Amino acid sequence: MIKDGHGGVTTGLDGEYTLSGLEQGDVIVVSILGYETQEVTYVGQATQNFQLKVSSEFLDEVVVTALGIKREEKTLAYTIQQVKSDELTAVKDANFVNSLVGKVAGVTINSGASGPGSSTRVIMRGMKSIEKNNTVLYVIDGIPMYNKSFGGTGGTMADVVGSESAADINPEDIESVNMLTGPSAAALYGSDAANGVIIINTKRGSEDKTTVTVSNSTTFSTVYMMPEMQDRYAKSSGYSNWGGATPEGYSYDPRKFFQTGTNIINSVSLSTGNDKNQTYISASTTNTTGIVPESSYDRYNFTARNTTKFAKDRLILDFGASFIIQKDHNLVSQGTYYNPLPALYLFPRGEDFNEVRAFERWDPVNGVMSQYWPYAEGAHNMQNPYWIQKRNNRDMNKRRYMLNASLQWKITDWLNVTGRARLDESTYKQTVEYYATTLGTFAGANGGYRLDNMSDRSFYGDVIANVDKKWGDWRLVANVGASINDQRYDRSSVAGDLLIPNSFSANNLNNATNFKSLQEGWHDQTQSVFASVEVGWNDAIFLTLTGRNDWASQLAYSSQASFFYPSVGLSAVVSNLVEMPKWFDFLKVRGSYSQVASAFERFLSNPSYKYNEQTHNWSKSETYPNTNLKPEDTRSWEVGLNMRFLESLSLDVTYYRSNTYNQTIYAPLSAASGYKNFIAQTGNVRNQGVELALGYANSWGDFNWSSNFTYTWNQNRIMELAHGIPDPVTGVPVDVLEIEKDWLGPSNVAPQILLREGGSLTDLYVNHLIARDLNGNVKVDNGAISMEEVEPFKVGSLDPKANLGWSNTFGYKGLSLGIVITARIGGLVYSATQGILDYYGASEASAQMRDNGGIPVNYGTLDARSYYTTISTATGGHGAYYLYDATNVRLQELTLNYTFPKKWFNDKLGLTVGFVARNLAMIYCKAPFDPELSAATGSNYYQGVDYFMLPSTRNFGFNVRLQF
Amino acid sequence: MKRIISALLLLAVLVSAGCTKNFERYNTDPYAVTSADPTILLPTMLDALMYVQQNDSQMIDQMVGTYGGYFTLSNRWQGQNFDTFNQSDDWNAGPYNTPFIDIYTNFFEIEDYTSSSGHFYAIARLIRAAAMMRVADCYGPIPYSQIMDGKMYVAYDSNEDVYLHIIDDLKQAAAILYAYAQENPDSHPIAAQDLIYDGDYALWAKLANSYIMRAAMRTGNQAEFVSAMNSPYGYIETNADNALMNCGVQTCPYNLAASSAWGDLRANASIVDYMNGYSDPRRPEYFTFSSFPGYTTQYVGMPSGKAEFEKNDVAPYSSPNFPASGAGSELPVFVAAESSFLIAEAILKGWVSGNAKDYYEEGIKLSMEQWGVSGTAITSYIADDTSVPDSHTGDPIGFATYNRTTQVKIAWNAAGTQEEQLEQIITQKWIANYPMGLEAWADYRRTGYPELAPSVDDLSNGVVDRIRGARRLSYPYTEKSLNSENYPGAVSLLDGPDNMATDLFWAKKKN
Repeated sequence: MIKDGHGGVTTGLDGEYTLSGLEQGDVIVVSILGYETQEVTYVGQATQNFQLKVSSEFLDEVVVTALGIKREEKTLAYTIQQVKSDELTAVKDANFVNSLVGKVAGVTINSGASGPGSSTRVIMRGMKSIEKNNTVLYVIDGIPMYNKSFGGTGGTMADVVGSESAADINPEDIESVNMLTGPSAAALYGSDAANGVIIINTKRGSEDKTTVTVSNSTTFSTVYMMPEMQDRYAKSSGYSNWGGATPEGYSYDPRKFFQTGTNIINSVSLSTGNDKNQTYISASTTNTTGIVPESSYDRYNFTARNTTKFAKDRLILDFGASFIIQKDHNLVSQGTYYNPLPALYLFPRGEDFNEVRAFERWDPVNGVMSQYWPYAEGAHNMQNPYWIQKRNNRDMNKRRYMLNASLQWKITDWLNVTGRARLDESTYKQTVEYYATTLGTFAGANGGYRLDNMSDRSFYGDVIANVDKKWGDWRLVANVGASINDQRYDRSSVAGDLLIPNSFSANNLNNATNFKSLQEGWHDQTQSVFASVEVGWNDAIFLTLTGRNDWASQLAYSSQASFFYPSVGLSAVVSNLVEMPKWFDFLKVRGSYSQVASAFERFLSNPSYKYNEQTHNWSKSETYPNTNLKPEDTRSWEVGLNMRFLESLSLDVTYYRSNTYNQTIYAPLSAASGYKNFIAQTGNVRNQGVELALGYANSWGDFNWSSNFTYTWNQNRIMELAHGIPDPVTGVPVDVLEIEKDWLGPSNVAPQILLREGGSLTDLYVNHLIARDLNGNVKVDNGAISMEEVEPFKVGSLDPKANLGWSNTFGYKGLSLGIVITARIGGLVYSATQGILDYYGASEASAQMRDNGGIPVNYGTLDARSYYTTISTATGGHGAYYLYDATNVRLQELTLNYTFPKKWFNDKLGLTVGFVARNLAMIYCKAPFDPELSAATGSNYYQGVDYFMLPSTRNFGFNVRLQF
Repeated sequence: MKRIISALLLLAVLVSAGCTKNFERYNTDPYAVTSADPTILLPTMLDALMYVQQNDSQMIDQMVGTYGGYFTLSNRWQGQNFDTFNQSDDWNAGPYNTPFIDIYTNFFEIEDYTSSSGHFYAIARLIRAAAMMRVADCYGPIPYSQIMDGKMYVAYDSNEDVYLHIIDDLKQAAAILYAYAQENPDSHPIAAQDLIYDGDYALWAKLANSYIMRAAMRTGNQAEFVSAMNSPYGYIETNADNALMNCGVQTCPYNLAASSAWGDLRANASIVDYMNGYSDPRRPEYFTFSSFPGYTTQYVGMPSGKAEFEKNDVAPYSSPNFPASGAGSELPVFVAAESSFLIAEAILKGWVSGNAKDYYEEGIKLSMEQWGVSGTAITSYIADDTSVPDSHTGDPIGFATYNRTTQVKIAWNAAGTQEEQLEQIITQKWIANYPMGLEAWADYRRTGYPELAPSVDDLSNGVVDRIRGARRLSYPYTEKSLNSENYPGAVSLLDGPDNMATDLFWAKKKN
C-alpha cells in the first residue's frame, strides 16, 4: 500500500502486485503477516521487488480465541492452531472438516464412511468420557453451535445415516479455522468445550475493495480399498461358495456395481465495502453423487453479512444471515440394514449377476412391481442390491437458517462492550419408503413407511465487557461477561406397514399392528457468567486467569445448582527478555492449568417412565434413581514451547495431561434388585500426550517451499473405574472393575471393548481361540478344528500410537504444488467383512487356500472350508483372527495450481486453475479396508469396524477460481 | 467505567439467578409420563407371563421353550444355543434378568403408589408371582421373599419356599380381586391395560387359582391343590375363561419368528410325529404343511438340537401356524384343558376323588374345541385305541432319525397301570398346552413324558445327559459377579452343582 493512505493492493498468490496512481515521493509499504514491514520510496521505478524478512514479532499475529475474543498469539498460554481458508478450499470437500485432516496436531479426524457430506468424528487429545459424547465443539464466530449428527451409533442393524450440522458450512465463507485442542483454551466456552473446540471464523466484507470470486470444484470419486474377492469357485449351497470351479469364462466383479461419484461445488461471493460499511454475500451449490448407485448429497448455501460503523465509529453493528438447504438420498454406510453391500459381496459365485440387474418384475396377482431376488435373505437381511438403492428410499430434507447480530460499543479507547446473539434453527424431514415386496424384516406385504420430523433450535446471547489498558510496562486485558445458551430439540415419528401398496404417507399406515409412533424432545439451557483477566508485563510475560460459573438446566433436581471452573496460564516470550543468539528469532514458553466441568445427561436426575415405541408399553427406569449427582470434571495442564529460528524454521511443541473425574458410570446390579444398574460418579480417565508442529518456509528466487509437519501422540488410560463407591441405599461400598462396551460385530465372536483399570477406553478383548491340545498343538478332530471359549483377554487397542501429517507447498512463479501426506501408526481395526467373506468362501484368501490344497495346521493341512467356517461365522470372523494393524501412510492431498499472470487479463481478472486430489494413494496399509473411515461417527466405541462398510474412495478433479 | 462494569456484572448475576426457575421444567422429559397413575406400567409386567415382545419371546419362550418339544430353532446363529446345551452366557442370563427387571422395577413403583394394598396392588402381586414361577421353573432357587425396593443384593429362597411364597401371593391376590369383582361387578379398572381379560378381575381370580393348581401339582402340594380347586372363586374351567394374551399392536412373535423374514422357528419333530401318529385334527391349526418337494401336503417337523446346518436347507420344514395379528394370534397363558388334565392327574394321585377318565377326555375335548375341531372328530379321536406316535424316520433331508418306543394311545387305558395312565394324561396335556414350551419342559422334567426325541447334538462338554436333556438353567453369570455374596447360598440350595444337569426337587424323574 501507499503510505498515508491513498490506495493499496493485495498481491496475488505469486506475490506479484501492480500499483497505480503513484506519485514521486510516495512511500510504498509492504506488509505481510509474519514478516517485517518494509518501506521503499517511489522514484519512478517500473518494478520494485522486495525480499521480506521474517518478523521477530511474528507472534503478534492476532488469533481468535474463546468467545470471539481476539488475542495476540504470543500472550496465549495454550496451543492454538490455525488452518487458513486457502488450505480448506484447496481440495474442497462437501464436508469441510475432511479438509483439516493432517494439518493440525492433537486432533484425530475420522471421515464418515457414507460418502460425500457424511458426518465426521473429531476427537482432540483422546477420549475423556466413558458415557458422554467425546467429540469436539464447533464454534462459529465465537458462538457455540449445536452439531446434530446423523453419523450413526454403530451395530450391525444400524439406522439410516446422514450428515451433520458442521458439514452445512460453505468452505468459501470460512476465513480461518482455529483449533483449540486443550481444555485450557476452552475454559471460557464452558462445558461443551472440554473435548476441544473448532472455531470457524467467517468472512466479512473487505474495506475499500470490491471482489467477486467465482469458483468451481469438480472432483470424481472412484472405489479404492475394498475386500479382495474370488469368482473361480462356485456356489455350493445357499450363499456358500465351496463348490467346484465356476464355468470357463465366468467372471463376477463386485467392483463393477459401483459407479464414479461426482462432487461438484460452485460458489460465488461478493466482498465489498468502505471503511464504514462492509458487505459480504455468497452463494454456493454442492451437488454430489456417491459411488453407490442412487446415492447423493446436495446442499445450497446462501449467506449475507454486513458490518457497519456508526455514531462516530463508536458503534459497530455486524449482522449476518445464512440459509441452507440440504438433502441426502440413500446414503450407505455399513451393517446389514439399508446396505446393498452384503448381497453384492456374497452374491453366489457362478450365478449371473446380470439377471438381478433387472431388479423388479411385474406381479400380475398383486398388481405391483415385485422384487426379483431369487436368493434368500441369508444372515444379513439381503435383498437385491438395486432394490435396496431404488426401492428402499431413504431421504433427508433439511432447512436451516442462522441469524446473528453483534453490536460493539467502544466506550473509550480501552473499554468496549459487545453484545451478541445468534439463532440457529433447523428442521428435518426424514423418510424411508419401502416398496411392497421388500424383505419382511423391514416392511409388511404392502410396503412400509417411516416419517420422522425433527427440529432443533439454538439461541445464544451474551454481553461482554472488554478492557485493554496499558500502564507503562504493564498491560491489562480483561473480559467480563454473561451468556445464555438455549438449545432445544424435538422429534415426532411414525412408522409402520402400508395399507395400500406403495402409497407412502402417514395416512396410509396400518395402525392396528406393527405400528410405531414416537415423540421425543428436550430443552437445555445454560446460563453463565465468566471473566478473564490477562496481565502482561513488558510484552514478554503474560498471566491469564479465567473463571466461569454455569447454571445448567440438566442439574435441576440434583443437589447442585451450578458449577464453577477456573483456569490459569502463564506465557513468557523469552526472546523478549533475554538476549538470544542471532539465529534464534523467537522463543516462548507457556504453561496452563484448567478445570472444565460439564453437566451430566439431561433427565438423569429426573427419570421418567420409559416408552417403548414397538410394544407401546411403559416401564419405570431400569436405573436406580440417584439425585446426588455431580458434574463431570476434567482437569488438565499443559506446557509448551514456541520457537522460530533461522527466519525459516518454527517449532511448536506441547505436552499435556488431562484427568477426567466424576465420570457417570452405570454400575451393573443383580437383577434381583429389580434394576439393571445404578449411577455412580467416580472414575478417572487420563490422557497425556504430545503435540508437535514443525514448520519450514523459505524461498530461493522464484522458487519457494513451505512445509509443515505435525506429530500427535496420545495415551489414554483408565486410572480408576470405581472403588468403594457407596451403594445408594445401604451405603455398602461397591467396586466396579470392568465395564462392558460395544461388541464390534456379533457378540461373542467379534472383539469387544472392555473397560478395565489400567487399560484404555479403546481396549479390545477377544474370548474365543482355536482349541489346542495339552501340547499346544491345534486340536484336530476328524479333520476339523474347533473354537473354544476362553477368558476374555486383551489383544490391543483401537487407538493409534501416533498420528503424523506432513504438508508441503512448492511454488514457482504462478505454479504451486501442494502435497499432504498423513500417517497413522499403531492401533487395531476389525474386519467382520473379511471373516464373513471367508466363511462363505467368497474371499480371494479362501480361493487361494483352496488352490494351495488347504491350510497348513500341525504339519498337515486342513480343508479350507472347514478352517474358515470354524474361525469365522456367517456374521463375522472371530476377533482373534480378524484384527489388523491399522498403521497406514497415504497421500492425503495433492494439488497443482496455476495462477495466470494478472497482466494477461489487463489486471482485471485473477484466474487460478488446478488439479486436485484427495486420498490419492495408500502408500502403506495392511488392513483390508481404510482404517481411518468411521462407519458410526456418533459412537464412542463402535470404531475401527468394517461390517460391509462402504469402500474408501480416491478423489480427484479440478478447481477453477476466478476473481475480479 | 467501573460503574458500567459493575452494572453489567450485577445484571449478569441477576439474569442468571433470576431465570433458572424454568430449569425443572426443562429437565423434565416433555413426552414421558413421570408421576402419573402407574397403571400404564402393567402391560410391561404382563408381558413377563408370556412374552409378546419379539426379542424376549424369541430369547425366552422360543429358545428355552424348545426343550418342551413344540419348536425347533431353525437358525444356528453363532453356533451356541440352548438346544445344544452350549448357549452363551448372555443368552443364558436372559430368561432370568429380563423378567426380573420387567417385573420388579414396575412392581416397586406400584407398591409405592398403592401403599401395597387394594386391587391394583393385588393384580401386580399376582403377575409378579406367576411370572416368577416361570423363572423358578427354569433356574430353581431364586430371590423372592427377601426382595424389596432398594435392596441391591438379595438372598435366594429355596426352590420349595419360592413356590410356597408364590402360592401365598396368588391366594391373597385372588381374594382381593374376587372381592372387588363381587362388589363392583361392572368395574374394570385396568381394562385399557389388560391384554388378557380386559380388566375382568373375576377371571383374574380364577387364573390365580389355576396357577396355584399348576404350582401345587408341580411341587406335590396336595393341600394347596385341593384348596384352589375347591375355592369359591373358581379356576379356568371353560374355554371362555382361557387366559390368552392379545398381541396388541405387535406382531405375534411366533408368526414373526417363523416368517420367511426371520426363518428362526420351525415345528419340532417330536410334536409333529406324535400328532401325525394320532392323525390329530388340531394339526392344521398348529402347523403349516412342509414345503419339501413331495411332502407339501404333510406335516414334517424339524428335529431339534443339531449343531450345524444351513438355514435355507431347513426352511421347508413345517412351521408353527400363527397369524401375524387378529383372531388366532393370541398367545395361550393358561387354558381350560390344562385344568382338566391337572385334575385327572390329581385323581390318579388320590389327591381328590373322581373319575380320571372323565377329566382326561374333558381335557381333550376342551382343547379340541379351543382349536375349533368339530364334535364328531373329537369323539372318534377320543375313541382311537390303536394309533401310536410316529417315529422320526424318512426325514426329507435326512436330518435325523429317532425311533420312538412309546406305544401310548389316545383312548383311556382303563386297565393300564397308574404310570401308563399318567403318560396318557401328560401326553394329551402336552398336545393341548401348545405352544407353552416352558410349561411343557417343566412337565417333561417332572413326569418324563412325553417321549421327546433328544437333541441331535450335545455340545455341553459332557455336562448334560443328552437323553434326559437340560434339567435346569445354570445361574446367569451376572448373579455370580453382581450378587456374589448370595450366590454361594443359592448353589447350596441346589442338589448338585450349578449347571444344567442338576435336577430340581420336583423334577427328578429318571427317564
